[in-house]
Order: sequence, then structure tokens, then C-alpha cells
Amino acid sequence: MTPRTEVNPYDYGTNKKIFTLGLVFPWLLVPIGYSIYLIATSDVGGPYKMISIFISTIIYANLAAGLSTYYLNKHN
Amino acid sequence: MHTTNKTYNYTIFKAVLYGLLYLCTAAILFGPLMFNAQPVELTGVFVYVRLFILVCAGALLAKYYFYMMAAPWYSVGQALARNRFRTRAGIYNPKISVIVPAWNEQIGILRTIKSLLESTYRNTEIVIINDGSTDDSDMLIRNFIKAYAASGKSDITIQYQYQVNSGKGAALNAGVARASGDIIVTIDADCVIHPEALAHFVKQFIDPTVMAVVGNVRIGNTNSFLGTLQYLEFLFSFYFKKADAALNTIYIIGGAAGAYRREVFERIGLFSTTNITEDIDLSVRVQKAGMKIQYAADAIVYTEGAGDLKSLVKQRLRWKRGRFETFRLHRELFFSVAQHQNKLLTWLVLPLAVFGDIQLGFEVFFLIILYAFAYMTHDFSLFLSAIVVVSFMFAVQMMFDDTRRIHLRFYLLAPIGWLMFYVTTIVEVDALVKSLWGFARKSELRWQRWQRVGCDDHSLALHL
Repeated sequence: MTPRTEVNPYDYGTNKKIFTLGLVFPWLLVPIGYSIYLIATSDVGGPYKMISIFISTIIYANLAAGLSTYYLNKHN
Repeated sequence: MHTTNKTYNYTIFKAVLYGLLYLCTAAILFGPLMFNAQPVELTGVFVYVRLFILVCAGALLAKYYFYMMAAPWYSVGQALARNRFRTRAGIYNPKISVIVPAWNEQIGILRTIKSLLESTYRNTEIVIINDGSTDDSDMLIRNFIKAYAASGKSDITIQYQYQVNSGKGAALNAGVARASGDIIVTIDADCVIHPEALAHFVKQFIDPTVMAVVGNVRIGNTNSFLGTLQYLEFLFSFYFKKADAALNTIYIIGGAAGAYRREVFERIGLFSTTNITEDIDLSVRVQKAGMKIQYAADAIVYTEGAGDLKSLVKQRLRWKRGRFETFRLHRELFFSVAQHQNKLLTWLVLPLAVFGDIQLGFEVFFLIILYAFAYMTHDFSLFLSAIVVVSFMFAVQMMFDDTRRIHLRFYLLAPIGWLMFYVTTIVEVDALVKSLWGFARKSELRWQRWQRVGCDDHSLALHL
């Protein structure tokens, strides 16, 4: 019989991961969302739109790669 | 007293210089407010000038975008490799031979050896090849080895050979011939290696498909303006190495921090003794043979940056000339469809490298056109965008840097990085013209002769 004190570590890990993602994601979405808002509503010329896309997609790539690395390291 | 005054004067010089660079950037950022005017409606030649700027900037932006999007995936690749080979990680302990070729390196050579001896990876031998130095380095090294042998700490062995001056390629080959390790690491005699660097090099070779590894080279004398400039430049280029590693398109393993399986030399031969950038030549041959080159971002090696403008020009001339020679020698690699070669390298990265040199020739004029256009039409959007993009790239690269910590002053330099890079652009253009001229005349270049200052304690203390 499994002793009561032996909690399945994966449960805690999953909860912690969801908690971390829940905490981090909304804040990271703010600058990305703002960039998209700028692109969508901007009435100024091309260069600003170009750099908005440049910056926001690079942030996205870093975010996606960072989360993937975090996930892979956690499940090593 | 004299030294204190000199340091004080240099600090004032740097403060004025950085102040001017900030002022110049602020003038562009706040240009629209200063003029308090709406952009002039473009007519005639200005329409075409704007189009020209947009096309040139677009090409440049596309190149950077490609690298900035690919670079973050390097860490994913590393995590996947770690998971895949985790069972081998604990038992993989190959012998490393570190080859240190030296020519008149009395200022930094002992520091290089000491840093190697402090390495946490102990299954190591050091092979020093003194290529006919005429300074005191021979005596310094012999005395050091005697003292080291007497100290009784001999788990890392040191081999030393003094030979008639034959060039860096020949010195490296002499080192390879003496080396007994399974992995051969080359570092320059003006470098300081991080204690964990050798262990990080080895970690990459756990993957049996990896045949060569390039380390992360940092500037170890950042107290001067030129040192800081080169520090930022290296940060930029080594961040892009992550993109190259993710796409398996690394084609330059610098002599300052490179590692190879012994098998590489057995299969494709030794370092070139005729090419002035024997390191680039070997790396291109490794890629040509379809072997995998990996980047170890955590294998950090500090090198001495050029201490004055003249030395910087000489260094860049050698790099540029050597790259041209290598490209000419291995021109069949361009647009190659050979099955074992990476098409992304042969069809995109290598042509992009040539495009980069062509673009470099125009860059100086491009910035002048951009500046004149902004002030004549009151349209600062192009200039502002360029500054924001460069600052953003700097900030991202520093944020994801692999050194332990980045000093605040480097973050503060992000907004003026575009202007600082202008100095290296001018130096690079000069090197480009000289190397094309030398290439046409087939004039010879050998070991670099430039004023040595060594890595400084203050700069190293920021990172080690």
C-alpha cells in the first residue's frame, strides 16, 4: 500500500506549470496585444507597421521557444 | 599619479563621447517635436528616395528577421538533445587536448594556461605550440611548466613545443600531431577560458552526430570604447550563431574557441597552411563534408579585442580577406545540390554572407541618405524605425545572453548601438576595399601584428 505521505509528484508539477503559465501569459500578452492593436489601428505609414510586426512576432517566437524549453526541461 | 590622470582623462573622454552619441540619437527621436511640423508631402525625387530606402531597409530587416526568429529555437534543440542523450551524459568522459598556438604572446599566454588549469573538466591535456616567438614568451612558458611540475598538481598535463616560425596553420597542425585526446579544442593564446567551458564543449559531443563545436567568444577588455564596441558586436554575431545552430548552417568556427572530434582531421585533413583564416577554411570543409557543427552558447571564452583603431582595421582585413579566399576556394559549395550538404547553407546562408558584404559597401552612404531624407522631408518614421529595431534586437540579445550577468551599462548602450556600429561599418568597409585590392594583387598576409593589451581584470570580473 502506498503511504499517505507519498504524493504523486506529477500532480504538483502539473499544477505548478499551469499556475506559472497562468501568471506569466497574460502579462506577456499585453505588449503583443498592444503591438497588434497598433498595427490594426495605425494610420501612419508603412515603417511603423513593419517594425510592429517585426517586434511582436519576435516576442512570440521567444515566448513559444521559451515555453517549449521550459516544458522539455521539466519533463527531462 | 600619471596613470591616475590618464584614467581620469579617458573616463571624461568616454563620457563626452557617449553623451554625444545619446544626443545624436535624441535629436532623431525628438526630431519631429523639434520641428513641430507635419511631414512634407513627397514629390519628385523624394518619392523614389523613400522607395529606395524602404527596399534597402526591407532587405536588411528581412535578413535580421530570419535570424531573430530562428535563434530562440536553439534552446529547444538543446533541450531535446539533452533529453535524447541523458543516459550517456553521466558516463561520457573523453580526453580533451587543448591546443594553444602562440606567436609573441608574452602578455596573455600565462593567463590563458592558468585559466585552462582551473577548468572543472580534468580529463585534459594542454598542448602549447610556440611558433618562433621573439619575445619572452618561451622563457615564461618554460618557467611556468617547471613550477607547475614542481607543485605536484599534474592531473592536467602540459606539453610544450618551440618551433621555427611557420604560420598559425602549421602551429595548429603541430599541436594536432602531438595531441592524444579524442576531442581537440583550439583556443588563442590571448584568451581566458571560463572554468566550465571545456565541460560544456564535451556536453555537445554526447550527440554522436556532432563533429565540431564552436564556443561563445566574448571580449575580455571592455574598459575602452573600442572594447565595448567589439563586445556588442560579438554579442550580436554570437546570438545569430544560435540561429545558425538551429538550422545547422554554422560555417565559421573561430580559432578562439573551437572543438573538433579527432575523426574530423582524419577525414578531411589538417588546418590549411596557406589560407590566412585557417579556422574558417577548416569549418567550411567540415560543412562541405556534410558533418554537423554545433554551437555551445555556454562554453564561454574571453578574448582580447583590438585595443586601437589601427589594430581593429588589421584584424578585420585578415578576417575579410580570409573569408574571400575561403569562398573562392570552396565556390562549388554555393548553390550546391549535393545530397549530404545543407541546402539552407548552400542556397541561403552563404549567398546571404556575400550579400552582406555587398550591402556593407552601401551602408555608409545609406545612413547619410537616411539622415538627409529625414531632415529634408520631416519624415522621421524610417529613421525612428531603424533605431527602434536595432535597440530592440540589442535588448533581446542581452536578455537571452548566456553569460552569468550583463552589466547595466551594456543595456544602457542599446539605444546608441546603431551609431556605435557605424564605427565598425566604416572599419569593415575599409577592410573590404583593402582585401579586394589585396585579393586582386595576390599580396600575402601572415600572423597578425597588432598591439597587445591583454584581457583586463575589471572586464573579466563582470562575468567570471
